[in-house]
Amino acid sequence: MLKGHLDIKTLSDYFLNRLSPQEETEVQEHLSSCPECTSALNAMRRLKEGFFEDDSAAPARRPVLFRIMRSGWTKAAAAVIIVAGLGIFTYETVRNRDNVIEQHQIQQGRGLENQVFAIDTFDKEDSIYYREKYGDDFLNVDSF
Amino acid sequence: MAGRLERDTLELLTKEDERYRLRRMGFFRDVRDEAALVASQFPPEEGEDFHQWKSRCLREYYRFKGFGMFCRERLLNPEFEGTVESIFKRHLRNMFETSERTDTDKYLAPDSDTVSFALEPDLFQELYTLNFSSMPSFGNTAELDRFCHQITSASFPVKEPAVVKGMQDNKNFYWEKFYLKLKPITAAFCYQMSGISGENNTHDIWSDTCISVNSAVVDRRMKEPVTAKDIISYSIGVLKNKNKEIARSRAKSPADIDTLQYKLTAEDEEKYFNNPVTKPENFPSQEKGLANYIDYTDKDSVQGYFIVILYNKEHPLHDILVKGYEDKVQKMFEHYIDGLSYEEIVARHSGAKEGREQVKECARLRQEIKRLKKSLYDRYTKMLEDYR
Repeated sequence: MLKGHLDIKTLSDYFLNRLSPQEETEVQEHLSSCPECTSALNAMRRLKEGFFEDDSAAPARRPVLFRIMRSGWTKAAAAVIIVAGLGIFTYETVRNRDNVIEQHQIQQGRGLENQVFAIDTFDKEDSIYYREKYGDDFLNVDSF
Repeated sequence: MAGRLERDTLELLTKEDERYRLRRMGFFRDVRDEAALVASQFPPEEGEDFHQWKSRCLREYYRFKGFGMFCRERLLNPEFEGTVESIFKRHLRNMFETSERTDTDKYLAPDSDTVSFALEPDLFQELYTLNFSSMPSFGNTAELDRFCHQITSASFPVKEPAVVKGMQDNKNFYWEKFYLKLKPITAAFCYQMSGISGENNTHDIWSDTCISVNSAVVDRRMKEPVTAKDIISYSIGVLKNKNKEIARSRAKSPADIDTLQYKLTAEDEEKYFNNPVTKPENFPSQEKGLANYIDYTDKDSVQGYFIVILYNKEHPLHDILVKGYEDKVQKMFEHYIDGLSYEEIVARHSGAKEGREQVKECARLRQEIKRLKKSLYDRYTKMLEDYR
């Protein structure tokens, strides 16, 4: 059994698992009856635990962009934007639907008007020209 | 007596856990519960001394817990693999410390380091697959340890051609060590031949030499068969040429260059090859530099050695580590070692405070310790490189 107190080198080597199994057992036998050395060893263990395991227990600090992406405020803002976007989209769709119908009706009407307009703008010379070329049916627009 | 038995079993199992990472592997959750179990189930028998009791109680404990089956189920578990790797490395370090320096190490490894007894990752995978794929039966950690010892004894030191092949295959593991080997040699040659000193001034020459040697070896431009001595000789040749170029660019008459001595004087050797910080007389474990003491690839080893330097005021690197932070380190010790709360530390150092004032002081102390931890570890990381 080791006499006196363990020197700091032996204690450090024991702490770092650098002793042979035989030496390790001798140190353990000494620790069994030496509160001072046990206290020094436990101090190193507590220091290691406090120094490193505080950090490992807490989640590692993420990069700024990651934290912004995962923050509650970002999620809330995203939700507001999505809801507002959906609202605007729905409103615009309904409004456009009315417009589309209206436009369709206008288009339908415009087709007739154009036909009438086309006939109205024929002058006398045109009439003679088309009459000679196509006969009396030239006024029937569907035949063009 | 019962209290002492529980303390002893707690120490045994704590050490087993530190050595074999049992909690991390999932062998048990709480070491205190296990210690209580061992104390109640396997107390010392009459006439049994400490050594006999330790050996028997651990053997029976592991049998009781089914360690053999536990290992078999964890063949592909990274934690188990990590444990085996750490056991290998421990045996290799012992072999390195008790063996004569090999020629391969002499030419390719830094003074305090080894390539012959080093566990290169691919080599470990090869050994692990070969020896553990049909998992042998281990009754306890001592048997696992012995098995690993047999493997390392049979497989190391790594033969020189295998190391050279690794370098030809451009394995960083070997090249990093070789570059470190070249660093003090570069410093010595530059000082001797060109009068250049200081890391800032020699850094470019060193890195150029590293690149030249690496490309010569990796591109197979050296005459086969390449030996460790060939690689270091080639490196010295590159260094000489680089220094000749520098000297030529400075010299008034080119004839002077050939009179330069290439051999180092004893004084220079002492100055450039033996770092006094890594050779403190009062701490023999430090004799061969930190690389001999720390496994740089193992987090546990790096963190453990940090604690040894931080806690041990006699350690030659302690003062360098804590310089300027002495008071703060004292407070941190009070918190982590003595278990004092922030309030108690504030009261001890700044007198009793109450209300908002106390809350403010405690928050300040907490921040102070948090910043101190980062500063100390950053300083330690730099020291690891400096004293490698």
